[in-house]
Amino acid sequence: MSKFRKGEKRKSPGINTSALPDIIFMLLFFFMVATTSKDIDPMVKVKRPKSSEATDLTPFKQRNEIDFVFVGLPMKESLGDQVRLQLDGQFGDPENIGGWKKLKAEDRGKAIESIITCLKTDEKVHYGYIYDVKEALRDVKALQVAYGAEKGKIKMD
Amino acid sequence: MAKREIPEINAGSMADIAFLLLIFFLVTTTMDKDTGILRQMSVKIEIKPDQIVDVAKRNLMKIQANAQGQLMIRKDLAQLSDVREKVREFYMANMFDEVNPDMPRYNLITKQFCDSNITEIDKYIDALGENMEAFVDFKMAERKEYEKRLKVIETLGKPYREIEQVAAVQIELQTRTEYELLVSILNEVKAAINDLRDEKAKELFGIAYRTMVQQSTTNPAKEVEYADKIQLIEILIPERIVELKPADKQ
Repeated sequence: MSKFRKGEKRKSPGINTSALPDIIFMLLFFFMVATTSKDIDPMVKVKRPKSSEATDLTPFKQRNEIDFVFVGLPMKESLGDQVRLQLDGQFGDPENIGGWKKLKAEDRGKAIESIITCLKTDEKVHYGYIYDVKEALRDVKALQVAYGAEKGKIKMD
Repeated sequence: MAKREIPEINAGSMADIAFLLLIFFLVTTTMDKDTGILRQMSVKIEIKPDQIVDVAKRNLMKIQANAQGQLMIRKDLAQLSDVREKVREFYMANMFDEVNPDMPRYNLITKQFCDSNITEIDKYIDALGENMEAFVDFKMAERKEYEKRLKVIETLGKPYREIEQVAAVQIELQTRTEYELLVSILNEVKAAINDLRDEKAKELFGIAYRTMVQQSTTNPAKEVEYADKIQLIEILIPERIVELKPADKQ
């Protein structure tokens, strides 16, 4: 006559997972909005310096108005210990960048002057090398340059 | 007729599909934003020795840095943290009154001044012979600057004071100076100029310059709205940063 039932097998209630897809979709959409697709895998090591005055390059000026160049030491040590440029999927040197820029401008059907060159440079690269790259760019009239830097406070010492 | 029951769709694998997509996006995208310091380089033109113009010392502020990371501003030892203050001083010293002879002067820009310069440039271009296209481009760019100034006078409704046109911040590094230091110096110089622009924009439009720029990069409608205001501020407080050839380069 007890109100507590004994001896009956207890079943754990099943967890309702019907909302699981919704949660995952939410995550999915978040990542779709918050990230940008990476179109090339870096071949050189680049640790970007920080700068509080760096401006966003991509949100509005779309990627087809910017050429990205990576400047740094090759990832694989077997490829040498000299600073190299990465022009799309290939290694290059300052002499090559002019020709590469011209090809890119032709591909896009835009004037070379209107395309920004973003130099994503490792913080330890020497200025002499960057100067050579800049002079090569000036020779082909690609005058808009962006020095790649991460948004953040710089250290003062 | 008996009601037919609609068979339920099994949504159990929906989560798996979503996971798959999620993982795909995680792998193919990067989080880091593409940010950088924008710079406009100057056009290369051939100049004959007799066309080189001397610029008065007061108009130049040379920031030098060596491979060891030591800084000099106008030949005085300095710290990175001094740069912002010094650049501000460079711009502000004679902004309202002629007080410091070692700093760039401010000239009153009037409508007559712009008009006469434009006619002079037109004459100059006409007088140029052939094979001088580089010079024509150069002069046309200069002409555009005067047209912009005319527009500023029109918007302000009165003449304004502008820093001497040759006044510039020069950055001279050595071949072995690290990129990080270049970015840091540029950052400080830009910060000083942007601070001044913020103040000017707040005074004229009640909104900071940086805010306008920030908003117009993310919002196309704002970009159109602010374009004129941004241009006006950039003429009132011009940014002239020149990167020189490394000091120890042959």
